[in-house]
Amino acid sequence: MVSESPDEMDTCRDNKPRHAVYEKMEKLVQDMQQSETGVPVRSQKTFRTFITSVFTGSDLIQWLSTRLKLSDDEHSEAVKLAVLLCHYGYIFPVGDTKNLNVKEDASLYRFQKPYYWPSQYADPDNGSYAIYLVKRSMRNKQKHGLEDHELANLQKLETMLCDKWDYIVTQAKDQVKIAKEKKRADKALNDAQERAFWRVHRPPPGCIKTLEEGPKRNFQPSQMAARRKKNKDLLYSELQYLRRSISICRVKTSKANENLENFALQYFYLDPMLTPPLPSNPWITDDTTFFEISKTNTEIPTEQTVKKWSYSLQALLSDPRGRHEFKNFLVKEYSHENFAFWTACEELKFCRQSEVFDRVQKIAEEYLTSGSASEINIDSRCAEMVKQNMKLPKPNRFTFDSAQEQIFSLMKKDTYQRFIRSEQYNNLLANAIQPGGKKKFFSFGSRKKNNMLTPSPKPKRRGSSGNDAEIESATVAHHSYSTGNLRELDDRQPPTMRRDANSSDSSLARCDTSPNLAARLSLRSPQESPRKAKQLEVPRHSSSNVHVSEPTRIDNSSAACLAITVPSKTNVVAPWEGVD
Amino acid sequence: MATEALRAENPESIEALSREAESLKNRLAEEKAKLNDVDSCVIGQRLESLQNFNIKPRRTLKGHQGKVLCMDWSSDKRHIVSSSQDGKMLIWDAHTTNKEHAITMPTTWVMACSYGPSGSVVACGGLDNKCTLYPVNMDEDPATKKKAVATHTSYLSCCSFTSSDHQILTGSGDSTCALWDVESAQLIQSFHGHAGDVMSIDLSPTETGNIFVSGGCDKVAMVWDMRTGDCVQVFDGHESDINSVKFYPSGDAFATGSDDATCRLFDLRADREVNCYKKDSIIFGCNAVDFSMSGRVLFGGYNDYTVNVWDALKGTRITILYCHDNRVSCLGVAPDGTSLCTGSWDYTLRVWA
Repeated sequence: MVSESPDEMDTCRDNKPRHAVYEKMEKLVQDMQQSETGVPVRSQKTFRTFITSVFTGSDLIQWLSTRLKLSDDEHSEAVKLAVLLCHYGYIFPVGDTKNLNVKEDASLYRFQKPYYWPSQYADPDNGSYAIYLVKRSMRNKQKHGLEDHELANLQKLETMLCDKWDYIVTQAKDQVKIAKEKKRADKALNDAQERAFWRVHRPPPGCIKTLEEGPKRNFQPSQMAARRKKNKDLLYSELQYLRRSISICRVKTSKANENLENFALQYFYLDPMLTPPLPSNPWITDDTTFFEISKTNTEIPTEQTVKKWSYSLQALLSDPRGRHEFKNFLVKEYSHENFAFWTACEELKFCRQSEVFDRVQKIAEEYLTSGSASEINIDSRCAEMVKQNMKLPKPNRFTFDSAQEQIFSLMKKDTYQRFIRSEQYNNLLANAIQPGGKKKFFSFGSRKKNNMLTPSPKPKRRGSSGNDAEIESATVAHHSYSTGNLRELDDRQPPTMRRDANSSDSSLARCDTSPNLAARLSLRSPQESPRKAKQLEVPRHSSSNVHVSEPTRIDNSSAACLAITVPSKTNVVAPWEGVD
Repeated sequence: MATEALRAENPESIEALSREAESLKNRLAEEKAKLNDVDSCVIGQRLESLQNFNIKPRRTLKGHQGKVLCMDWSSDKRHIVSSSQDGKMLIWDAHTTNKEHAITMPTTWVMACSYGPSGSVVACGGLDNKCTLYPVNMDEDPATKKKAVATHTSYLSCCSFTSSDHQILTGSGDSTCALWDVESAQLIQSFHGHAGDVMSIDLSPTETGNIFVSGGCDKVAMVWDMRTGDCVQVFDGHESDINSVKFYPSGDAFATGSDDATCRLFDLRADREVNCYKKDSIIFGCNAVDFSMSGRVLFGGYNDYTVNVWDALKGTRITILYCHDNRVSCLGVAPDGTSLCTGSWDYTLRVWA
């Protein structure tokens, strides 16, 4: 066994499923046992006996901490690892045969000998266990007496292995005899190691069996290697995949990273793990208001939900209510058929198999027959593809795929953009539920974070003039710039619109100086009753996109503020206010 | 196809094909290298680090008599289905910690369970090689209306409904994934390509995605086109079994958790690994991964009884969650992102927020 080919290695590993973790633990334990750099091992004299080669729990944990370069905050990790080494039988406590635990104090521990390591001796059989138990029952009761569960095990084994029992007893006798000839210290060490080994492999009831594995894998590593080599089907599909993937379009890694970052930034305020949800997280406070208001069947959506719709068409369509509102909008615009077609295709994809045929026919009839009331407008190439698909003997879930894709990008470029700029959308946003009150909104710390993490496309994107150009790139990088889009558009809108754009990405927090104020905002009548007007401050940073890339950030408190005049009397009332 | 069949009879073909595959692989590596303009450690540098991230255990779900192996959230954001080694599947109202249903399976090691999008059906399976659906209503015993939908030639390791209750996608130890029609229990599409056991699948969160990702014991993650059954992308890099795969919420990337004690992030459009989550002190394998709602936080459940919480973009560890007394076998973030549920071999589930 000097040099092993990878295959042979795999074969060796077939029987050792968790080899990776054992190897890593064993490397650590070997390093620990180095005389110079390892854990300081000494001999200690207690009142009557002399205990050899032991180390203390605190030394061990200290060593692990240093070796793994753990910071003070991560100290608990060293303790955890020490306990695991004990659970897996690499070290064991001296004197305590019951508990497998490591305490960070002067308590003493010993190394298990490699012969007993799980990688060497993973699955000891009942025969060896029986010999061990018989051995102990033959010896000094006080020192080696069996525990209750061990006695029970011994009885069970005696019936199970009755045909071999004589052999087991002889073996045990021989081993006891040999042990008697050994030196006292060696004997004690051997006994302790053996006992620790069985403590791990045959733990008392209720204790963790660390070495237990899940069900065996179906394919062993050697089989996988063989399959890869010899299986022609796999080879063909691999080749097919390789040929195709040579030509696929990839984006630069930096671009991909940027997209992931932008998404995370955009959703930062919607992520309850990062921004405490309003009014409160139901798991922390037991107040289920958050569940209630975010249900998809409530009458009025929350402001968060409505804002999310503006992130991307995807975000809008993944929310049933978003779909509903979008549909209403399109019905008003008399361009409902595109959306209806898209929805029908989506339903077709995930419908019962038995319905596929009927659905395909129905869609073709309703949307693709020339002259029908809700005919959709697709290009000739696409129509041809669908026609070809329809000729196939079996109707397919994906018959209309190309047409559906085309309609989707059409909606994305056109109707969706109009929807999020429409009066209907703005009304929805204005009417939306704004849970929580003043205190929560201005919770300490969140302002600062907001300032730093405003979702912001690169400055250069601001320069891109055409809306369509944005969308072109968005088909590759969906989601990424939709807020950027909005803002850009909003710059050209009357100032009342700006408020929405600001709040849409700088969290709901900032618009609310009083809990109901924002809900009372009237978008239609900014000039109304100027005497009663209140001033609402909105930090300006979210309307400028540059500062994220600036090395020094503008401090929020000193940032220029944009004052918006807000009339206090309005025709818009939050739903929970009732009639007051 | 006919020509391929002829070539298959050629005794030299395997070698020839292997050679071709080899040269294509090299070319592919070159192509990828051209676009690799930044180091993976650069990712997330412009982001502020997450401060005050603090979640605590809020609920403990006790009731399983065996190791908890799998869990899934209901779309109502408060119900959970969990399955265990002793063949039990429990349905919880996690918020009140009440058990609402208990279903006994005719098998042990129920390794997969999943809630239907409507919340009125659950699917599960394990060493019985089957995926069985149970309707969940308050008034009836689910077991009387059960329906076996999928059958594999080895254990069922994972299952997931598509966007409707009418289709279910399964992954199995027989190295395949398959899409099934629930009503007729017919196979719609099978997915061949893994060389070893499939351990985990995840459907793309984008509506028009039509793709899913799978990870297996052959150490690779594969992205599949559900329409054609073709593997469209393969991602390697792990040194041991991949136990868990999960899409980034935007659908542009996915994370993996592996027995090699690392988690990784693979980007679909860059077609490569963009981040790796590891530490010297983490030596035990990772069984389950999931993202917070924004994708910023990645949770990994490990065999060392802990959950490591990673900043998915910066690649740094935010914190460790200690609470279980045995391996963390499964975890999932609630659909509304408010909480994290972890399941463990210590027979319990916990909800964190």
